[in-house]
Amino acid sequence: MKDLEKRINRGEHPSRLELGRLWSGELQGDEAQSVRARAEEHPPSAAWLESLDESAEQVQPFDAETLRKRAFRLRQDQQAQREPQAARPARAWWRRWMPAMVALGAAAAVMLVVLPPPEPETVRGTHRAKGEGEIDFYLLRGDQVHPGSEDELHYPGDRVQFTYRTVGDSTVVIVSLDGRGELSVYYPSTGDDPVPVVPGERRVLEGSIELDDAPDFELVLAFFGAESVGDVLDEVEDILDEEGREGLLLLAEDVPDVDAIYLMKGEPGPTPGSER
Amino acid sequence: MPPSDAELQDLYERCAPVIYRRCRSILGNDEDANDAVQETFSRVIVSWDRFRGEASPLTWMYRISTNYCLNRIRNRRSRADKRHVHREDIVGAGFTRGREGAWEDEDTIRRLLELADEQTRAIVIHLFFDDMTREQAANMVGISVPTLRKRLNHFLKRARKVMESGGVVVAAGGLLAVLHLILAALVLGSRP
Repeated sequence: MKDLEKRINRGEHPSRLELGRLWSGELQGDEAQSVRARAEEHPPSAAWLESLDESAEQVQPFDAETLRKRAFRLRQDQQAQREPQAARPARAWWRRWMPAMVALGAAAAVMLVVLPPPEPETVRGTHRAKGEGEIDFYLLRGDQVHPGSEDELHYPGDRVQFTYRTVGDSTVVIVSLDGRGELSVYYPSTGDDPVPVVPGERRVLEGSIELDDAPDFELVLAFFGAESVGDVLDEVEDILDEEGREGLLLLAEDVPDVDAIYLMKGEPGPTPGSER
Repeated sequence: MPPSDAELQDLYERCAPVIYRRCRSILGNDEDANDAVQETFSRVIVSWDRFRGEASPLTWMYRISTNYCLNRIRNRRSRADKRHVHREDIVGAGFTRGREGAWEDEDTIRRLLELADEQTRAIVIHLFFDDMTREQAANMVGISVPTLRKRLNHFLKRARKVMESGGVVVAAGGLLAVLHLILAALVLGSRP
């Protein structure tokens, strides 16, 4: 780790910010000359300057309309954040009921200890009355694709592709909690912005997910109308900390813009259909 | 008053490659780097009046893109390593079979970065990706140099532990390779 420490610039060469300012024409006169001279004496700095020329070819081309649209959405988000809860009625509703849900979760946990385990269907709640959004899925196993079902077992290597239904233009973030307790974000595959979705019956989300060898279950949660991946992760982590998995199932049951798919996992090994 | 397209284009052509190159180095992929550029310039549009008064517009954009990078790193940290997301469809128009989507590995500093708290991440970004001096980095983060040194030492100590545990795996791999070579030599040597 000494090497890492040695890499820290002691002022003998310009920082990349200074190089960037030089390249962009922000530095002028003596200041520009000084940075250029120091860069010429330091090969990595000279190489960085050259790489900026290459980056000019690689960066997304300028598109004023796209930038202005994104700026407009950004401004709207900022305004919504400034406004009180009224801007987010669905979230405000369930947040108000959060203490009650926590209590309900705790009561459910006690009942689980006292009562025999419920039938799997009771926990999973295959069909829910939803107003805002629903997800479903197709399953690819071996070379067979068929509509997915929460009633069958799923295996490592199975691939699922999600479909959704919403009543209006919205967005979705899809996260998954597996039997190891690991939380993953499936959609969006990158970035913090939710995936835009449009109204309609059973529209297909791009791409598919390959199930890994995490045991027991995979709980997939879709948050419609979420503002960012970060928001969703914060909510999920809060609920997990306070109520565990049951809290997430309750959330999906009760909140119209959250839906869940509970995939039961079978033991790893030859899976039905894969040997064909 | 919002910027004209010409003003925006001029700024984009001068600064977007710099922001792109920087974020590509921090985040490790083109997609995120390009998204960082788009986010940074959207924020330039939203804050145009304030932005025009900046002595160094690029420094301002650096700060904005640092926040973007920190958010991305934070989200990655929350995303477990279930790197089995496929780019291809299994149903619908995009369905093709046989192509595998691959996720790239992150290099050592990026992995170490995910271990740190928010402020330390910013420090590490400025020191190791932006090649700033300690003073410059402290100024960017808005803390004193002694505080920066303290946080940096803590980070390096933690990073050393992680690197050492990773080194065990490498050493074991190397040992296996040597054993494999010895075995191969014995087999070849025993042939008539």
